[in-house]
Amino acid sequence: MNNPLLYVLLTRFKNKLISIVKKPSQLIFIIVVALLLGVSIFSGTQTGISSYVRPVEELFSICLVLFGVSFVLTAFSGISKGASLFSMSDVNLLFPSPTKSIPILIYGLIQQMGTSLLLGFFILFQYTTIHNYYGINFKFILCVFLLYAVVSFCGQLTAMVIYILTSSDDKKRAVAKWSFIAVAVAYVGAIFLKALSSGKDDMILSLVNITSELPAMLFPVVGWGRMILSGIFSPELNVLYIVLGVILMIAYIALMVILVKVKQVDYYEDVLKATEASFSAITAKKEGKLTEAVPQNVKVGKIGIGKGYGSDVFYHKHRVESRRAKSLLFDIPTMVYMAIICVFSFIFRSMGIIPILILATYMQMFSVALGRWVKELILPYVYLIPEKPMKKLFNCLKESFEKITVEAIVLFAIVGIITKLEPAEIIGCILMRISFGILFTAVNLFCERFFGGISLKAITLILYFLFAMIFAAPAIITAIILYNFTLIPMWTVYVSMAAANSLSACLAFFASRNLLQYAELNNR
Amino acid sequence: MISIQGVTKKYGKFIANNDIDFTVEDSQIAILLGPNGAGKSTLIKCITGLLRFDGVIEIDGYDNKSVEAKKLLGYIPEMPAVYDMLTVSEHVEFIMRAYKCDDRDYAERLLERFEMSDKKDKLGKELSKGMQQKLSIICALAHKPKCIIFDEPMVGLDPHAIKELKELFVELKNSGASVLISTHMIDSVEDYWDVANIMVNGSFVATKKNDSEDSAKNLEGLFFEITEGKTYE
Repeated sequence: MNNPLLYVLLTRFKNKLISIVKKPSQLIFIIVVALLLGVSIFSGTQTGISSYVRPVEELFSICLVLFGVSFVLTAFSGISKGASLFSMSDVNLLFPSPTKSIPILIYGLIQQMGTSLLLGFFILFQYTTIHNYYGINFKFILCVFLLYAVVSFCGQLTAMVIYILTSSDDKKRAVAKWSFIAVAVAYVGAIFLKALSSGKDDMILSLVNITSELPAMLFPVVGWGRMILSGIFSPELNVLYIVLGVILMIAYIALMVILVKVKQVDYYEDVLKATEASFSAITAKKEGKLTEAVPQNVKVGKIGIGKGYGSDVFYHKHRVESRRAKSLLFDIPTMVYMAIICVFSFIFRSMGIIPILILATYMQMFSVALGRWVKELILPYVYLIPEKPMKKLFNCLKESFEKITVEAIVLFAIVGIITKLEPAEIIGCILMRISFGILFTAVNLFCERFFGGISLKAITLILYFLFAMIFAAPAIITAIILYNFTLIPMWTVYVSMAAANSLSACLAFFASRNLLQYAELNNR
Repeated sequence: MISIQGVTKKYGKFIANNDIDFTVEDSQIAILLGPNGAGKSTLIKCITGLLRFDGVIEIDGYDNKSVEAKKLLGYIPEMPAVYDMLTVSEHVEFIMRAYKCDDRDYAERLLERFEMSDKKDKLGKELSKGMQQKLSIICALAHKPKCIIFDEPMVGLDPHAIKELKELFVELKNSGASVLISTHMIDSVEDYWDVANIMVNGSFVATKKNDSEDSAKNLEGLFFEITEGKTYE
């Protein structure tokens, strides 16, 4: 094999396969995932279609949202921190080698495509539900999976190109970053405004209709993805949409490559920094460590921790760190989750508070894992400081508890107004949300304590969800019993759930009390 | 004094440390030598209470996991341990507060010795690897521990910092501290070691006291004899 790039690509792929066979845990995981996928497809096909099939156009619009979130988040994160299609070994071995820069760029693109495909794997598992509600076949889900990979890939590519073109000037990059966001917000805003001005009662129907129109589908990458779906899977095949969508996608990728080629052939320097950053993140991830999204230019502000004596200093240190990380009241992922819940509340306000509570609690399972306390587990100080593990643990969690409380109050004050809840119900919802926040934090700790040493993090994640459900079961059962068999007001149901969650959380905390005794217990 | 008795550390079936016994007396510098993968860092992590193990480890007579033992212990990890979002001076403040220690003069002197005084307002993330290592050393020593454990402390340090650190080893020894240094750079410790333990495959294969003028030379010879099976003059 004379081409070194092809040799590296194929050899790495071959070695990856060999390593999977050699590592039983990875092999078992892949077999389990494949079996689950098989069961999902089989049961989806067997269960048949719901008596009321929802319009497939609605599904196309859901895919538009999925593509949009993936494209915007990938590109935005890449523009901010730098995106790279290369690994550190590519930078060290390929960049200095006598190979032209464009073939190396194409090599990077092919590698990235593989990663993007893996990212979209979760979509395949949605087959049963989607088949049941929309009556679509497996070809549809496969197509969404491929389009999702292409859209993520385009997001990464866009980020890399913008980063390369603006890397020489921080102001230019800031302008590019916020212009990108402004365009995305304008697109979403225009769709919502048009839906509101249509005067129809059914908000969802209005949104689906607007996103089915050609102008909405001409929006770069995201809209083209929807256009291709619409072309293939609408009741009548629309070849024009398929061809136009595919051509636009290919043209976009080609344009990005040409921009690198024409504007700045020597992209190595710009890519290097981003590669180093992602290398540190990957290394940390491989070691199971968590890296913090540290802003590039930190405003130090007031110097000094100022308060705390003994392990209490962790809480005050966290406050200083959060101030500098510009996380303000909430970090960006939390704000995104809150925004989604608020939008959901607005769209589905006529259906009552229950679906909103279910969605909010489901999303909370992901957001509570983002606390600063997890980052303490990486460094030795929390283990070495001479105090009782339980006291250190409480002080490390204090900031998380504070954030959980404030987030619950802000979120349910807004949701309460949108859905016109009684004040007592709002307070009940806030208490319930706080209790779920504390419970999920406790379950996180529990999983760190007992399963932190498992090298395959996907299994740890599955265990987290499993134990979250187990520990939350008393509250859910309490709610079902009270709701169905008594006539007590809803706020008392929420308060009862909060009480049940508090007990479960205490149990999980007690089981995890020695987490900070040994670093080994969370050999992340 | 650091006392290790019958310490065994296993990862599944793999034995990282096998029935290790040794002590580091007060006013003594002990070194742990061994090739990569010999189990030095694992043993150090057991001593500092980061890993579980079978056996007994005591710091000045206290169980190494007790609060009393932790008060007496200073640990410089192999990889620098700094917080991205804290300044250099805040790291020192953090340690002083966490260890409930009010005497900041010593920490200030350490900052000066390691040429970090002018970097006090720099964030952890803005420091080079070498500076991070210096800060890590300062943080470990700021609360004046009585037993100090260094895991490859010279890596990444500039010549001035290496010189200061070597002087500091001797000062710590003279102040009555027990110092344990893990390294595979024999020449970096040849001037001041009191007792050397050579580890291979998780076990102690030789212990040598520095009781003659050519001990350092003999130590190097012994090390290669054990690790490579060759005799050196």
